[in-house]
Amino acid sequence: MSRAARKLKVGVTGANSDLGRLLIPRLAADPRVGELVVFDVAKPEGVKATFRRVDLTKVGRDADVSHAFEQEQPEVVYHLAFAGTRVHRADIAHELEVMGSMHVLTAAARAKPERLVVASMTAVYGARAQAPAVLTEDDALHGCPGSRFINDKVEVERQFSAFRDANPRIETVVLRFAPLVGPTSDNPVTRWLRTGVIPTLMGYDPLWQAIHENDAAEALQRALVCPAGVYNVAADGVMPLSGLIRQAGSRGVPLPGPVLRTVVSALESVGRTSVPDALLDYLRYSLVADVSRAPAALGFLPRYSMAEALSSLQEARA
Amino acid sequence: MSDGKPPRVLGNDPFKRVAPKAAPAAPAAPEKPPADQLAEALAEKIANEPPASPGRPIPRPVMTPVPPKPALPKPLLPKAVQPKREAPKPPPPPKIVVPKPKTGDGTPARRAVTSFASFAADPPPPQPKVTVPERPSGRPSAQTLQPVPSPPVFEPVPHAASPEARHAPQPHDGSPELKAEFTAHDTSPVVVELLEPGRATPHAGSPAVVRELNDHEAVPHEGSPEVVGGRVTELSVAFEAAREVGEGLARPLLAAATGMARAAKAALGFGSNGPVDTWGKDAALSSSLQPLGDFLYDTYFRVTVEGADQVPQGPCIIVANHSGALPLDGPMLHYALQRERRDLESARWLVEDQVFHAPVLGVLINRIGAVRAHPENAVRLLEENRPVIVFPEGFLGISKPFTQKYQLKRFGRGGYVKLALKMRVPIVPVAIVGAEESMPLLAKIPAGPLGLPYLPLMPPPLPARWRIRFSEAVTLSGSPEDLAYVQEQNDLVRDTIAGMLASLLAR
Repeated sequence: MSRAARKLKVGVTGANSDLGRLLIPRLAADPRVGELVVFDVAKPEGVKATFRRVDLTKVGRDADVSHAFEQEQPEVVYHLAFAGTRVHRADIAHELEVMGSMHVLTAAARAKPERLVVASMTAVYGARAQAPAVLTEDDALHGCPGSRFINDKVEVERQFSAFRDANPRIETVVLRFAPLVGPTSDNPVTRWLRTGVIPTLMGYDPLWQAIHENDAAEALQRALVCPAGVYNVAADGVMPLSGLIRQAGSRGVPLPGPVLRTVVSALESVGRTSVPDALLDYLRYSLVADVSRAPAALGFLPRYSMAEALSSLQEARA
Repeated sequence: MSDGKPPRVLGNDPFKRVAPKAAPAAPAAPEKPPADQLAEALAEKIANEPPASPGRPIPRPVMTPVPPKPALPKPLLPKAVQPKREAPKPPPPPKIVVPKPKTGDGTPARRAVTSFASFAADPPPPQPKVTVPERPSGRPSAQTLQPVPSPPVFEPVPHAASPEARHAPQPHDGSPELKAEFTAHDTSPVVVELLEPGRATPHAGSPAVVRELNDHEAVPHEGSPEVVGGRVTELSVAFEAAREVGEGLARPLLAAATGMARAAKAALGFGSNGPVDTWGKDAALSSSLQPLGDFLYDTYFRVTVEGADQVPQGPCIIVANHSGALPLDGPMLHYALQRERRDLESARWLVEDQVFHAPVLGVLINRIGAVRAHPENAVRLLEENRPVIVFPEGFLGISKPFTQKYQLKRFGRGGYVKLALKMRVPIVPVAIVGAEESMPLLAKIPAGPLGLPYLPLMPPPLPARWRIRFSEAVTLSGSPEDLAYVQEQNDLVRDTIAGMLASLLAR
């Protein structure tokens, strides 16, 4: 309430990530934001913001973030520093995702901002045979056995949950995004959907969701003042994977499981983007998050339908 | 389909060469009209038409010289657009000559016929045969080919749609005599008109005309004008033609086949183009499967339903026995509710993991309304005011051998009773008889590598008579925590269903 009236000092980690890149200009233009501080290894271009160089993966400099937070004293902290691109060295990804988040949370516990916002993904629920058809924010995060990428995200959420319990006076907002798509997005899912010919699992056609990058950025922006909590954010509706691939302008090629595994490992060895073996469950079981909570809390409905969001993938390709 | 091939080849080559001869034969044709009784009716209607048909093809593509004809063809051409749909069919359907009578019955076919007739009427009804010969004169090879061949070829197409394919051989012959016979049938002239636009244009080799006439068929025609498209397209073309012309049995069967093809495509993971709801149901796919459902429901299983009016408005739990080697009772009960109680929200049925996560089958049933059995799913469905169909026996119900038919297995842990108590919704017990006889489980074939617990050894679904009886709705009052009460109610519902089964089987 009072916060809505005054100008906020907002800190953002990972300004160069997909979401950071989309969010920073919005925050810069937001009348509620008085000052913008960017914590990253490189200064984002063309944005009027204070830049603090912080490397979350640097060994022996764990306290850098804490010092930066303490000096800047941001009132709202967005933690978006996650590996958006494919990192072949899993240890580095792990350093950034898990250790980096730990450092940020530690710093936040010391600097005590009013609010901490973190971006997560609905994939943390896991695509599981035993799951209900629609997953709410209260459901357990099962992750994906065998996938370090997903399980690191789950680990971050656990840290966040622990942080929330330990710091009840700091408002926390977690936005779990459906797979992020859009003309400028570059994440494992968009790269996969842009490969043209996509092997899928024959006999299965799970339901997927997606969210347009602009809608995701808007949701993040609105998290500036929304009620604290965890929210699933996805475009309206669901699509079978086959339809999603078609809408994205690629062609799905259903292959029997054993053949698919062979093809996938062959593609991997050639360096083509595909779905790793560990993530095959996402091609087998539906993963649909309940999005009824977010609109009321964030005060907005995604503007892009799922089909529009996926079609936007082709804009970039064209 | 087989007929389709011969007409093409025969029609094309022979026509071109024989075309001139055909003209003389044509006159003979009028004499032969009695050939088919069915065809006769059409023929009579169309008798006037034949002249027009020759004129149309000629003027456009090839025959500029014929002054009167051009006028006719032009009007025909616009109409021809409609025929074009049929036109695509013509290439494959050489055998289908007989169907013309059917076309008359079929609404689409009729339209085409009437339109042709009107066109034909415009020009005085000269002898179709005569006109044909004229064309050849105008253009020796190409023109003659167009008019003459087109009639035989196209005729077969419509025939393909129709059950009677016997006439086809005549057109196939492609000999002038045969052609004459066709004309004689009267049906031939009509066909010719319809077919000619599509076919003639390709022959004529005027790309613009071809495009106009055959929007979808254009591709095959253009690719091989003389051969009337690739063989691969032949099937689909014939299929589509048949669908338009289809009538009586052909139409529902084809519709059912189309729906099944769509369903198979979706089930394999190629997807269907329709949107799905949160539960995965694809309304478009479901409605395309409706002809199949109607056929199974009305004709094959002859389902009789008793007491459907006892299903209360609003959310309720419908509890049924599970039987048969394939879980077809879920869809059929769902379908019965859909037909008997249109006032209710669309029901969904709950399916155990073994089926829901089975490849192909799982996707298929999900697209037509199955939901994975999970308490949260059931609650959410009931909150949407839907009747929820459950089979408490679960997988045990459909995996019992035929020797144990209609012997109820354990009713799970009474989850549906707890759910009814928690959500305060009534329970409607239902007995389904017929699934066991339709799909007896004779043996189980291990199928671990396929991701299935087993493959059922069973005959193809047999046309046993199905009966579905709904019992009175039971409203429970108690605590879902009181497990002993849950047990009692579970037993009561089970006994109710067992009693209904016994009485249904005793009849």
